Order: sequence, then structure tokens, then C-alpha cells
Amino acid sequence: MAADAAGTTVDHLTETYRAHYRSLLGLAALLLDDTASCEDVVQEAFIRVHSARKRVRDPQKTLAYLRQTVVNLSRSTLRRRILGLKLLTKPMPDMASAEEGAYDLLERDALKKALRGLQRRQREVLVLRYFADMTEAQVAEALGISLGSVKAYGSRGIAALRVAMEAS
Amino acid sequence: MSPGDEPRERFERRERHERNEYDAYFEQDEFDEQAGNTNVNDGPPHRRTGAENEGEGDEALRQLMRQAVADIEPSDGSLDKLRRAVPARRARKRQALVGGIAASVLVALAVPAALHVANGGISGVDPAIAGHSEAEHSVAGTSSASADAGRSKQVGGTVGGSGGRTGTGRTHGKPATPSPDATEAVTSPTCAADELTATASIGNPDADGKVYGSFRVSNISKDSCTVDGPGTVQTIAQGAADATKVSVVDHTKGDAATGLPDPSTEVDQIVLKPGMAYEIRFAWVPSAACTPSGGGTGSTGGDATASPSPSPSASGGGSTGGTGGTADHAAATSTATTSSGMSTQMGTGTDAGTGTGGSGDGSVAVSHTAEPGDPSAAATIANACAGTVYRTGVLPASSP
Repeated sequence: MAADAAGTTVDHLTETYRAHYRSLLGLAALLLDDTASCEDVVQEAFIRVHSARKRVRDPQKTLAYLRQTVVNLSRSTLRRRILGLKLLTKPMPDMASAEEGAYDLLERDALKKALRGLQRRQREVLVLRYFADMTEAQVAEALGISLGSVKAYGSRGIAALRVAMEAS
Repeated sequence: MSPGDEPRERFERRERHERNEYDAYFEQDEFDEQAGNTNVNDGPPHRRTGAENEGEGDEALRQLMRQAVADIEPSDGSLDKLRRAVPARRARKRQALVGGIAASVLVALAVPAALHVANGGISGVDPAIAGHSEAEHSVAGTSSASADAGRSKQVGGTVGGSGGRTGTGRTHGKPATPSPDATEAVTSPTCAADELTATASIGNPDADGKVYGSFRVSNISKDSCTVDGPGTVQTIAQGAADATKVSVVDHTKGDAATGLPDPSTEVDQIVLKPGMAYEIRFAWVPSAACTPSGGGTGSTGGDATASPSPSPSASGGGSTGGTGGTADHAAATSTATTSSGMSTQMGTGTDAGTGTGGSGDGSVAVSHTAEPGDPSAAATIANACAGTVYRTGVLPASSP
């Protein structure tokens, strides 16, 4: 019954889903390193933003909130994973085999590999700046750092990325 | 050569030309990053030189990034999953909030109580026994609120654990009444009377004589519109029914109308898409049986008692008893044939009845008028003389 509680809810959700879901998946994929968690992260972001929709008064801001949430969740996912890796003495052998198809493609993608080699902040700045097409000011706001830091992380990130890609 | 190689080369080629510039820039920047120096933010001159060429390299990087994730597709049914998950999360948040309030109230009550028990050991209050009685308390709360088992279970658990002493059903029911969903920004115009149509339906009386029914108001226009009020519910006492003993009250948690949904599921306003409907549900809870202003005769009543035949076709000699009896039975449905089986049980209860059978029948018409002032729909509760109509607010209808 609650599902139809407000007709606008579902409409708005569907609308943002159609408009942004894929690009947010891409965003998560570039920030993270496996497709399975990407989908989880984006789903969680949608659920959070939409169930707290009262705070998102301006529909124009929905995308910004979604992106921000994806970035934050990706961070905590990575942090969790790093923690998990530290706790596990050796990597799980079946991890790779569970991932198929599009996954392999991602694995092979030099850019993804290079991105993964970057510092987290650098990666975030580059992905938001170039994949999400955000301005430096928007990136600064989304990441909660100064504009100067955005520029610094960005240019240093690009340089590091080039080095990494040339090496590969 | 894959399609990804072309932008990659462009991206890397630029690097060979410009790395020195970047390096120079970073060296300076290294010191200023944390300080957020505005000179750096505005960009030193050589940065601008880089920016002239930036167009191509940036574009290449954009392409590379898009290519890298081009193969990622949303998994099947992810939208459906979201559609289910969002309201579920919202409900859970609401519950957590309500649960938190209830828990803090209980803690506030439990701490002094625990101190009291701890200090007054001699008074013979055994903490174990106290805990036990509280546990029963919470169980009672749960069962009376069976319509919302999930929530009351949660709160019930809190009560059992912390040993508070409030009646659970009430504490958590109240804050939830104004549904947060209802305050969503709504763009649709208010529904006009001619955009809506109303129908009524009514069920059979249950063992206690309670009768449940509902009014369904649908949007028959071509546009979405908003209904922002619960409308009115009125009763008209007919026949032997006593208008002064029939009242309409809003359904609250824990009242006699246990079959109605939890008031927290009501919404203050609802957007009706074309064809969508909402429901107002109601329950008739009889307070007294009809006074037989003219029931069946005592003797026929007696006859009927003598033959407590469960078959509905017990109308042979008991047909008068049947009709007479219905007047006494608080909420049997409509005709004598269906109710004769039940009326036999009540036959003995009346000993004063004379006159013609059937004239003692009372019924109560329950009508609902939607918020715009129209349309209306009415349902008639047969064999009802005195009692209370519990009504809900606007409930989203589950299916068209």
C-alpha cells in the first residue's frame, strides 16, 4: 500500500532512474573496481536519496545528491574492502571466476587499471571532472575540498594517469 | 586495434609535449595546496598555456572514461528493485524514528523504576517477576495491534527488554499518524467533484457483529489530481435504529475496530492518477442489540431456539422466528434466510416482543462524501440500531 502512497514518488524515481542510472553506474565503476559493488552502490544511493527526498527540494539537485552519495558510498565500500583485505590473509581464489563478461572487459581496460593506481582523491577528482562533466567548483563541493585542491589533485592525477597508461 | 586506442593515443601524445609544464606547475603547487592560496587557484600563467591545449586532451580523457564503462548495463529489474526498496526504506526510517522516541520514553520511565527496585529490595519486589509482568504487557499490546504486526513487534520487544510500563500500542501509534509521505511537494491540482466517482462496499458481520466496509473514490478524469482531505462520513439511522445512539468517530489505534488498518497508513493527501483510487474504510461496532419495538412473538422465538438448526433453510416453521429474531441480533446481514441460523441463538433473549415481525428492524446507512463535497456513496448496515462507526482517513488503494 505504501508503494503508491504518493504517485509523484514513483514518477520521480522512474524519471531519475531513466535519466541517470547508467551514468551513475559508470561513475561508480570508475571509482570502484568491480561491477557487482557498483550496482549495489548506485542502488543504495537511489534508495537513500529518494527516501530522504524531502531534503531534496529542488529536483535539479537530485543528480548532484545522487552523485555525492555514490562518491561517499564508493569511498566507504573501498575502505571496507581494504579493511577486509587486511583481515583476510590471502585473497579469495574464486573472486575472479565469479566475475564474467563485461567484467573481463573492464579488467582489460587500461584506463581503469591506471585509474585504480591513482590516489583516491585524484581518481575522484578526475572521474567527477571528466566523466561526470562537473565543473571544478562542483567537484570541490561534492568532495568537500577546496577549489585549489581540486585543481591540484586533477592535474597531478592526469599526469599520473598518463604515466601509468604509457607504462601499460 | 580496438576503438579505444585512438583517444588513448591522443591522450598520451599530449603528455609527451606537456609534461614539463605540468611538473613545473606541481612543484609550485606542492606548497600551496593546503593553504588554498588564491594565486594558485586562479592559475599561474603557465597553467593557462596548458589550458590552450587542454581541449583535446580533456576530450580524449572524457572519451576514454566513457569507453571504459560503456559495457556496464543496469542489471535486470533494478528499477523494480528500487521501486520496492524506496518506500520500504522510508517506512523503516519512520519506524526507527518512532522506535527511538518510544525507546527513549521507556528508558526515561525504566531508569527510575529500576532504581526504585534496586533501592527497595526489602519491599519484596522481585525484579524477575516485574520483568515477567512487563513481558505480558507487551504481548497484549502486540495482539491488539495485529494489523501492524511488524511495528508493534518491534516496539513490543523494546518494552520487554527495558521493562517500561507504558501501554505500547498507544505510545508508538500517535507520532506516526501524520505520514511524512503526505508532505511531499505535489504539483497536481486539487480534484474537482466531477473528476471523482465513489462506490461503497460492505462485508458480512463477524462473530462480534462488527461489520467492515469501505468507500472507494476513483479519479475518472484524464488528469492527475490531488485529494487533500478525508471527506466526511455520516450516518442515517433508519427504522428502529436510534439516531442518538449512532456515532461516527475517527479510527485510532487500539480502538474496537481492530480490523481497520493502522492509522499510520493514512495519508493527508494523495495524488490520484487517472483511474487511481483511494479508500476510506469503516467499521460498524454495535453497542447494543436492537430493542424489539416489535419483534417476533415470544412463542415463535422459543420455537426457533428449540431448533438450533445450522442450515439456512430452517425456514419451515421458524420463518416468523427468523424475522423476529433478526431484530434482536445486532448485526446480522440482510435477509432472514441467511440469518435465521444465527437468530435462533438470540430468540430466547427477547421475551417482550409482540406485534408483527420485521417492524423492529433497524438499519444504519453510512455515507461518505469526498473532500470536494461530492461525490457520495452510501452503504447500509442491516440490523443495526446502536453503535459506533469507526472511519479511517484516506488510504491509498492497493489495486485499481
